[in-house]
Amino acid sequence: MEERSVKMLALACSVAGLAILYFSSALMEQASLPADIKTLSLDDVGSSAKVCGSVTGLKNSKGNLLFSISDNRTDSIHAVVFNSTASRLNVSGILNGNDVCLLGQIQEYPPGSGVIEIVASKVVY
Amino acid sequence: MIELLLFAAAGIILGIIAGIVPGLHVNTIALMMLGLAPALGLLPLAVAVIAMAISTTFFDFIPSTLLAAPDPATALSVLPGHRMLMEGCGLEAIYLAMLGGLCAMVFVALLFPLMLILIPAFYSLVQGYIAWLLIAMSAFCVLTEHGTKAKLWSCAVLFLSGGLGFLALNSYSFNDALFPMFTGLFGTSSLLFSLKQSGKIPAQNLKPNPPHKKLLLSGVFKGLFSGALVGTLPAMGAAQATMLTQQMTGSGAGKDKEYLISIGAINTIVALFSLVSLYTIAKARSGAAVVVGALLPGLGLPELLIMLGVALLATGISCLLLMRTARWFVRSMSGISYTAVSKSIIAFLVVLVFLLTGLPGLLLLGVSTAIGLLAPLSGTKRSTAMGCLMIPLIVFYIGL
Repeated sequence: MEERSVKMLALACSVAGLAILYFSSALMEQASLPADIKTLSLDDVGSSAKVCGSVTGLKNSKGNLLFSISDNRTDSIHAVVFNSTASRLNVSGILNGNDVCLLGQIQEYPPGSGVIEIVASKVVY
Repeated sequence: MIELLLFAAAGIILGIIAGIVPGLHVNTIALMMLGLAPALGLLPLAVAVIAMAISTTFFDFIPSTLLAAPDPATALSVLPGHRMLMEGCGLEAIYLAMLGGLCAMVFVALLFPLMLILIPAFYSLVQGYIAWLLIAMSAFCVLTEHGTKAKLWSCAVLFLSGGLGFLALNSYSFNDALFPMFTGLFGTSSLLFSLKQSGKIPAQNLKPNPPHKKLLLSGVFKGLFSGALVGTLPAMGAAQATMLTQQMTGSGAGKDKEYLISIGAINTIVALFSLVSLYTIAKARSGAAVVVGALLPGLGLPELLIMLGVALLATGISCLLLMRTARWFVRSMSGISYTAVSKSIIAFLVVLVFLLTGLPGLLLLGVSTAIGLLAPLSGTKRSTAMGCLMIPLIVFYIGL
C-alpha cells in the first residue's frame, strides 16, 4: 500500500468518523427529549430516558440521594442518584421543590415489585 | 457536536504527547481527567479519553522503535523495530505498525454490528477457563522453543519474570511497577545487548517501502484474531495479544514486517474491543474503558456510536500526523553514533525511572534488565518474559 493510498484511507476514516459522530449526536439529542412520566412502564426497564419535574421526598442515605420526580400532582417516578455518581455531578440543586431533569436508566426496584425508578447518570437544572 | 469535536481534538493532542513521551501512560492522564468531570461534562470528557487512547496507540511506536522505550502493549515491538532502525528502515517500521492499526480500525468498524452479538456469546463461553487459557499460552511459548536446553532456558525466563512480576505488582513500594519492569525486560536489556554493535545509526530511508498486499492482510488478520480474543477476555490485554501473535508469526528478520503490522493492529483493536465489551458485557478491559465506564455508567448505543465515530476520527488524524512526526524524529537520528545513542538512552531511561518511581523503581529496573538479558543470551524468545504479567494473572485466577 503506497503512502498516498494510506493518506487517502486515513482521510476516508476521518470523514466516516465525522459522519458517525454527527448522526449519533443527533440520535442522542432526540433520545434526550424528556419522557412523559405516566407513559413509563416495566417495558422500559433497561432503557435510557430523560425525565423532568420537581423534586419531592428527598432523602440522603449514606450519600445516595433518594427522591421522587413529579411532572404534575399525580404522575411521579422514584429516582436515585448513587453516591458514586453524585460525587461527579453537581447535585446541589436537588432540593425539595426544585425543578430538575434527570438522564438515566429505568430499573425495577425492588426486583419483582413492579415499581420502576430512574437511576440517574446526569442531572440538568 | 462542535463541543465533542473540540474535546476529540484535545484528546488527540494529549494522546500524541502520551505516545511520544516515554513513561507517560495514557491511563495516568485518563485518571487525572476523571477529576475534571464535574466542570467539563461527562460525555465530552469520555470523548477526549477515547481520542487520547486511540492516538496513543499510533504514536507509541515512535519511542518503542527509536528509543527502545516500551510500554506493555509495545514491548515486543522493540526488537524488530530497533532491528529495522539499524538497517536504515526505522520509518518503515513505524509505517508498518501504523498501517496495521489503520487497516484494523477499518475492518473493526465494518464488523461493528457483528461484534455486538459475538462478544457476549464468546464471553459467556470462556469466562470459566481464563486460568487454563493463560497456562496454555505460557506453555505454548516454552514448548515452541527448539531443543531441550532452549526449553529449559525459556522456562527459567518465564518463571523468573513471573516471580518478579508477582512481587512487583503485589508490593506497596511501587506506585507504578509496570514502567520500570517493562523498560528493564524489553528496553534497557535490548540496548545493553546491542551495545556490542558499533558504528553509526545508518542513514534512514525516508520513503518507506509499501508492504506486499498478502503480507499486509496476513499481519492484520493475525492481529485481528489475537486482539479480538484478548480484547474480550478478562485479565488479558494488548501485551498478551502481542505474545500470542509472536507465536503465530514466528521471529526473525524476515518476519519483522508482518509482526509489526500485527502489533499495530492489536493495539487499535484492543482499544476498541474494550469499549464494546463495556457496552455488551459491562466489563472494562482497558484503563480508558474503566474511565469511560465511570464517566458514563449507563453507556447506551448512541454513546457507543459516538465513541466509534471518535475512534475513527482519531485514527485518521493520527495517521496523517504520525508520518510527518516520525519522519522528523527518524531524520534527526541518522548518522549519530549508535553506541553514544544507546548509552544516552539508557541514561535517560534510568533517570526517568528514578524520577517517576524512585529508588524502588531503580532496583526493579536493575533486576528486570538482568532477566531481560537472559533471553537473548540464551538464544530464546524474548516474549517469554511476558511471564511478568502471565504468572501473576494465573496465580490470581487459580485463587492461590
